[in-house]
Amino acid sequence: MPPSLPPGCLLVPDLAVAMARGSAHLGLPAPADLDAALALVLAVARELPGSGPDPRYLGPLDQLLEPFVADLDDETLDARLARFWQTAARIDGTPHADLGPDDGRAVRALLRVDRRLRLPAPTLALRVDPRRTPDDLLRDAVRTACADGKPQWVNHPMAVADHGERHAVLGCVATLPLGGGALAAVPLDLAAAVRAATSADGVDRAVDRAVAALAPLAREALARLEDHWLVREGLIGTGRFTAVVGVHGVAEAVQELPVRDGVRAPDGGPARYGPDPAASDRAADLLARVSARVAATPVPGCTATGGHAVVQAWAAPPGGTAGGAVPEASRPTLYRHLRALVPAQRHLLGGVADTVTVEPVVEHNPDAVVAVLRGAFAEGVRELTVDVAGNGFSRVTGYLKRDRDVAALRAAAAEQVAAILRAAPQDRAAVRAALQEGKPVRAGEPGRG
Amino acid sequence: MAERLAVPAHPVEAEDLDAAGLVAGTVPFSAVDGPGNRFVVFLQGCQWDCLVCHNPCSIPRTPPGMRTTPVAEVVEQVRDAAPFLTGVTVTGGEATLQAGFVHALFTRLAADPRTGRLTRFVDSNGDTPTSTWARLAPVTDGVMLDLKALDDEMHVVLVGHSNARVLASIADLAGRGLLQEVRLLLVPGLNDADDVLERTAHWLLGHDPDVRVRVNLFRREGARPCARDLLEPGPADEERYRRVLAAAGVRRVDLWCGTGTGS
Repeated sequence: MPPSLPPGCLLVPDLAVAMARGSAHLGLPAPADLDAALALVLAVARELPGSGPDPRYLGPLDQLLEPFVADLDDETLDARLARFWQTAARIDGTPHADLGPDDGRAVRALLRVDRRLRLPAPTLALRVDPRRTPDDLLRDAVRTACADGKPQWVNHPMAVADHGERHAVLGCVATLPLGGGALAAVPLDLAAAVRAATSADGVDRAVDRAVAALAPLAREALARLEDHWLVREGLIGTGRFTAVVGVHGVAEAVQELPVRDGVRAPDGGPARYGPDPAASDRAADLLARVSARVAATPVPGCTATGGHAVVQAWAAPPGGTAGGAVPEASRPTLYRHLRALVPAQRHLLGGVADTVTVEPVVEHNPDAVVAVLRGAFAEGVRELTVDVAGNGFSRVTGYLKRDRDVAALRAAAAEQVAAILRAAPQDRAAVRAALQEGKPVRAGEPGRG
Repeated sequence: MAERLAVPAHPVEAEDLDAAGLVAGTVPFSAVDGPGNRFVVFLQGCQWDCLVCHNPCSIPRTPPGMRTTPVAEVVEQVRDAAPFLTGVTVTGGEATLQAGFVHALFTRLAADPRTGRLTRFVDSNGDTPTSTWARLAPVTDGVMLDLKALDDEMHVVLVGHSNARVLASIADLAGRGLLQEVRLLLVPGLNDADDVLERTAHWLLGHDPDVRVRVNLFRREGARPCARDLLEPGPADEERYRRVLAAAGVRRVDLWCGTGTGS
């Protein structure tokens, strides 16, 4: 058994290191062909410590595999990747692979196999660089999105500007330093913080409390990592970590702010987040204040991000809204929605999971989605999920689920499922333990993210 | 689609500046009105009276109470949506009945640095004099035409008018390299027999060997009451359409459920 790590700690191994050197711990040499490379990726992913639905990183998978695919025809390649994909789907947690931004045979084959198998996991993120990612690759990825809702789309130049080249996207959950990850994570309910605050300083106090909670968790994680095989073999570097403040309820917080500060929408009512640009500006101001406060407060071990934690969008308890998302009921038309997300996403360096839904007819015309994505990124959108209506998949608090699985689960144990999905990382082990003991678990209990 | 230079390729004529049209509505996001994501302008009024029309309220030429919309107002809407768009499609009703408005709109869009890169398409029933196509051609990137029936007798039954000008339009636009797509709205028993499809394919290929055919599968939903007893094509029909058109030599065939507006 791998040594356990504190909940909230999320490791992002640099699999390129294992590809180059092999792994003594796993007893596997540097791979010489595709099968050996796939076995190595799988072995590392299975050994990764983690809890609940935490992502298990499969690497920038197309880049790792590209050197091994030249001699294989499409049929052979697809058959091998399909077997790998079905095995990877069974790993604990949420296996995830990053793709792009460059085109290649591996990325095409992975997208092709994924849309044929239509599995909820592994999840995929496609990094899009307007200068490097060709339309035809984007078109291919839209076809996959039509089949199963993957990949998530990432503004690569923006990620590089904020994180440098060595980062991983990890689906809709986190953008983190590659070869390290997050030592700890805590939730911050901005709606509650704003409600409780009598002045802007009050929000700062809430941030301070959240960041203070990170420090002991981060120290503990660092101590436990000291002699970890991933560190010994160079897949993880102790200088490659950050910590995460997971915010939710931006939408509710900015509903509160205008009421308090007397800001009104053109129709005289309180400015609504999404439809009213004034509310988006408020969200940006609030998140700017939060991220400045986070950036000014040192957290031990956060060497990869300037010695402080990063702000990330998190799922909210029932009745709340994830991260800086626009609540479903007040979503404006597509372009206004995308533009409304930009100010909040600018500050959510640690990752976001905002979703837009398009009609299934885009299967006939994937270029329509390509144009919208290119526009969204040009306007400053950081990350986006495009749900294609009617394909049988949807996002539940950021996690990709089959509609039929969700329906079945809802019938069986809706509250328990919600509790697991919505629990903050540090609470997930407790939720899991309670479920194993057959104790009732409800979503949205105090202290859960 | 090649990037368009953001330089005014066509001088804005004085008459274009104050042009206004009867605009029934606009849609800023459409994946069904040509390649990519398109801003769609629906112009009011059609000279036809199709049995299978799915948008009969767009037929009247001058509906009471409808105000005219200045070109500048539409241009402003397109400017706002431009970063997300592949292009603009003008449809209807019958777009070319307001050719002056279309010309003015396209000229302004071509000249505007924010919208100059967008492709400009017309969606038409094809009952349009070739002089109109000659006028629009310098500012238009492509035309999508409906061909309701190759046989004129059947065309008159379905549409109420001869198809002579439609066929002339297809020939003219193919010659100009502007024929983006021909739509066949197929209604079982009326215009979907194998030999009819084959002759239609051969006629189209004679004018454009690389013609792109979009088959619109007739759907009763949304159609006028007089069309509600017509049959809808089933899966076997769909398979047959694909097979017959491909065997006749059409390399690019796409099947869609339902119809575009005005079909």
